Amino acid sequence: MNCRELREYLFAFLDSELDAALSIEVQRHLEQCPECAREAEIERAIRRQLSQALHECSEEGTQSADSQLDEVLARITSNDKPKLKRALLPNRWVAVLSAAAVIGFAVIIGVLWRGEAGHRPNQFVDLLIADFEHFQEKGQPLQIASSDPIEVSNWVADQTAFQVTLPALTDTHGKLLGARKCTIDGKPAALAAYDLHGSLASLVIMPGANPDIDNMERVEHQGHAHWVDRCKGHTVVACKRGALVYAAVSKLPEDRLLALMTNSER
Amino acid sequence: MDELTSEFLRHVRPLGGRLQAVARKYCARREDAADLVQETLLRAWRAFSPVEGPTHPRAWLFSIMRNIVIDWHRSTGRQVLLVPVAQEELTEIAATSRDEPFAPLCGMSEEQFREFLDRAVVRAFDALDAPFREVVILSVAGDLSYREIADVLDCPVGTVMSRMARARGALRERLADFARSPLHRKEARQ
Repeated sequence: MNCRELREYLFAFLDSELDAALSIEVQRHLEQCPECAREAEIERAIRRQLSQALHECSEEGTQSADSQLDEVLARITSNDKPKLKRALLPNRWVAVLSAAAVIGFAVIIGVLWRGEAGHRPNQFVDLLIADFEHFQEKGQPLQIASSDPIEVSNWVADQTAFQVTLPALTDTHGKLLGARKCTIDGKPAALAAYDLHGSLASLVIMPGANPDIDNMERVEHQGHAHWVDRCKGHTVVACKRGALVYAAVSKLPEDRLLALMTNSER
Repeated sequence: MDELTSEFLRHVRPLGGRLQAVARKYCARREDAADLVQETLLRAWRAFSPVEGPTHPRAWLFSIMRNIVIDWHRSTGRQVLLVPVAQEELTEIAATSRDEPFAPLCGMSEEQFREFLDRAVVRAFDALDAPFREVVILSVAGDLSYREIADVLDCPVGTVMSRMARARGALRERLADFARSPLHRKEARQ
């Protein structure tokens, strides 16, 4: 990538709207070109100032704004019930058949879920998988593209204040792609992305012990406790380390994710 | 609380702050912005169907808000600060010319630059044309992705991308113009 191309992509890169491959190219160019790195810094400063200015003029997040909003929502939802659209109201037979179909579908889904993990997945697992799918659908946007776990760990620490140790993979295991900030259940978190020989895996790092982890299947792996769940074709493996929770998500089987987690424990 | 209400609140409550922030940029007066949020939520509640459910709740809510602003501008005396331009009235905007360098903003110390931005960024932003300001507001204050902004504006993602690049480039040009202006130099000396 040259400087002219960088100018073409910089704004979308800073908006996290580039796919992983282009993000890596932009990041590499910024690491090698002080002039463009300076331009990116200027652009970040403009964004910070603009974001601050656009939020300052609103009352967003203040107690009074929140309570006003709650009042409005309470008033609206208590006095003005929406009516189901006529077209959506089925006749009696359609209703009976629809109900039967819904029950049948629920039974099938229930059986499939039991077949996958033996119990219904919990909210924590749902959130992690939704985040992983969202990350994939958006073209895997990264805010730092690097295969150096120390560099990416430092970046995560700068951005989130989490003291993380990302897995250091050898070429035979796969490759770290980079990381981005994210939120899980409204709380700040970081997501590191790995290419495990053609399969994407995310490793989400978040603070605090999540009670839902204890509802997952506990397994011992190389002397460490891990928690595993499988849902919707995805595997989730979590572990607790200090004040942080690490959770890996992928379509790969659990042994591959356990190996990924174990690498970060060395 | 019944299931319908809790389902509706689950969709809209986390977006309340963002709605308020964007409403303040559409409306000149704080009272109008509060009315805009209320009207948006009311219309959303009336349209909310637990059967259909919004596929993209954020884009759905901001589309409702935008349509109310267009209605207000056409038919009421409310002072709308940012008039959304309907897609069919827009002539397409070319992306930033790729051969042009960024408008120069260097040459100041870090501290001077921070002070300069503090004074200049809102002025430069307010000087942008409405279609440019709108995409930046939806992105920065609404926290919407390009895909979601495209849904709100009812246009292709590529259009959002080019408009966003043009908006960011134009913001830089305005900041550079301001940095070079005698007014800024006078303010900086004071």
